[in-house]
Amino acid sequence: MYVEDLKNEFYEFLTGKRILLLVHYDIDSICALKILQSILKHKEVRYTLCVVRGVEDLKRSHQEHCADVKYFVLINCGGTVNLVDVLEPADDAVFFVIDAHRPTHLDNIFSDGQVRLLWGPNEDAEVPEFQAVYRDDSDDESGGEDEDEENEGEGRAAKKRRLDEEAIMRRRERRLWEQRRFDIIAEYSQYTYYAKASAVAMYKLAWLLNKDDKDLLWLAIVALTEQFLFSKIENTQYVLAAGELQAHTTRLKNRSNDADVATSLKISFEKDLKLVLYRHWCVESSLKYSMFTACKMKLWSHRGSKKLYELLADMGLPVAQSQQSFESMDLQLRKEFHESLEKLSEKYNLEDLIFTSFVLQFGYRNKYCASDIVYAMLAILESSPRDKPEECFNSALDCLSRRHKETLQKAIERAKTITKTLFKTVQAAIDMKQIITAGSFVYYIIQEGSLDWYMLSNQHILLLLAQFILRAYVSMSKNKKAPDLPLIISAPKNLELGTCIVLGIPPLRQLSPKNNLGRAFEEAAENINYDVLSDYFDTSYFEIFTKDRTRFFDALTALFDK
Amino acid sequence: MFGEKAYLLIKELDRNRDSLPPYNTELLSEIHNEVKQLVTENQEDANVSEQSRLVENVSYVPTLKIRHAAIKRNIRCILAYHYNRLKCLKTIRWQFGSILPPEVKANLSQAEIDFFSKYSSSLMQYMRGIGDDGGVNLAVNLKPPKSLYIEVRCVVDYGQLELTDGSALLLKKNSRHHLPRTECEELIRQGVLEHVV
Repeated sequence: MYVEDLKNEFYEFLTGKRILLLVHYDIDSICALKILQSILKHKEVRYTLCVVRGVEDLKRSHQEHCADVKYFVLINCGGTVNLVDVLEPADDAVFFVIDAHRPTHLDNIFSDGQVRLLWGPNEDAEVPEFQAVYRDDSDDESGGEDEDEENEGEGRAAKKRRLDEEAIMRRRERRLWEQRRFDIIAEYSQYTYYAKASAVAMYKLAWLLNKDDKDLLWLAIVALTEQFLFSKIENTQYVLAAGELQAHTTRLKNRSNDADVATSLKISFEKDLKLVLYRHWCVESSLKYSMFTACKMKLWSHRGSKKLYELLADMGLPVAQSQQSFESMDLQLRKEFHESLEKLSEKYNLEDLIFTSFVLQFGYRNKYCASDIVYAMLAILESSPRDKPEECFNSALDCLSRRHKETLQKAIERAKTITKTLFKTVQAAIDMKQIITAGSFVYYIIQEGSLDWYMLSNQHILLLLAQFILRAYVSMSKNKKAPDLPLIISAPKNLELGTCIVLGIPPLRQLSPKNNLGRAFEEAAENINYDVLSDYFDTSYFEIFTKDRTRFFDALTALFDK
Repeated sequence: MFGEKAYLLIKELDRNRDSLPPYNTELLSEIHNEVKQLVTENQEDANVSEQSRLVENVSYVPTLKIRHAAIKRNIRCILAYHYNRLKCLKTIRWQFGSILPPEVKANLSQAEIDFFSKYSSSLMQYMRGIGDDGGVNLAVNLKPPKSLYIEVRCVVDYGQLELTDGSALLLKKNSRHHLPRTECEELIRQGVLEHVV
């Protein structure tokens, strides 16, 4: 059921009640959570927070709390699964779902009040009609009985024959309807993609309630940038959403307050470069390890690094300066950095280096752009093998509040390590030709013994690696069909159980991020009668046993060849 | 010199500004003796002065004045000593409640212990009288709290917590909750929950 009047039916509804917040383990949900927390503070709501990494966690948290709590708010989880079936809740339990994953499960859309989706029907594309998907079974029986009573006058044999014929007709019609329903559902759910970020929706609610401020706006900006950096949404969608947020930025600008630099918080909308963490790193490293520049200039090869030095020389940046940290470069060079890169972008094939983003400034020393914060949070959430998820979650929440600057700094350092690791992995993969073509798709397997495998077993870092590898492969390959091939990447996940995680991403030529590899995985698994442990809410990730990996890939090859 | 021991008494109190040193009975009795001695000497000299006024006109008035000033100084120091100790005792009552920890009790004189119990009981009587329904414990928050509900994080695995409205809450390590202040304060003091700013 869709809830469009968020203010009355969600916010006012939850006043004074006891709720359970189930939050998915990713950056968008953390931002949405913070916004929701700050607006719920004004209402007397008692809530408990649970971190959810997959469907199992969702079931477990629900089980632990369902005796005392009747109202559940699910952030970025649960939209794509049939909540009533999976959780088996009590009849008076109500679920409010705000989820960016699509396609939404049909049972959630057509639920009669137990599952309430906090967005409008215009954000779900191509939802089939209710009649096409649901059918009242009792119609059949009651139809038969009516006919019985009406035609008592007829002879018994004739009536029986007619009833048999009608029963057969009805059964045939039923089968046809089920076939059509199966096709409709298959077509509806074949592509997985992401819609508007939950944090942006929460920010709109805060704005409706007049409780928005620059902090909440910054959280919405971070969530949107995350979707853009991980290519979860298309360029046009990003530009539209960024335009809306820019309108809010200008509205919240306070000229008199902003004049005092020491205490003010300024958000500005600027052109930014697709270089990872360049403000907190040295120029040479940032240019070398960022996915965009590395793939365009092939910086893992010897010729590529020479080209890099050419680029630096063309920009007028001495090598010594480019190896120092950005903040210690000459002021003049720093100011001209953007423009010189822009001018040279055509010559070095670096178009699209510039994109519009937001920069946060508070105090004299703290200037962070939205992508910096996204990478820092990614580092906290996904690169500590020893910490438990709840502790990482708490650190991530700390890092977003401006009081814990050291957490943010340490996270940025770790993000630099992650970027370097990704680059080195891609370099090794290309040099040792480990990216293998299997006809209609490309695949890459991360072996268990390699360094840093634990980093790569997490969802988003694996996604970044997959995109990096695909772009690198396409830039190095002489195969004309390379931009049309999707990539499947596999990394070890749990050494004790012997499982590995498999992710598929769409080919480069396809501009839209709609991903139908999840469906391919399911079909391949069905074909080989394999029981898959698919715990993730994003269906393009699968978990299988390492020993069955080759069989699975063979089944995929057969499927793609069809 | 007169008044030196009284000065020592004050210095001792100054050295231990926030805590209570043991009740210095010997020093106090020494000062007491000094004062008594001064008083008796003064009395004799005053009598002599009085008697000699009529016969020889011998006047010890300056001496009398000096000794009187010394007596007053000693008494003032003793009073300051006692008053500051009592002030410290009152702060202890507000911080720790009406049961005195044994280390503190060892440092008090009997009179101070009596004072403490009487102060405690009149404070309890007052707190019972204000606010409806049994009174308000003012010692919980010395400053008025900013909000009714606070966000807390659970630091240890505590298990089930019974809330005032009857429902139960599962407190696992590292879980976060948003609860009314009254429910959490006891647990925050025990160290089970941690207030998240």
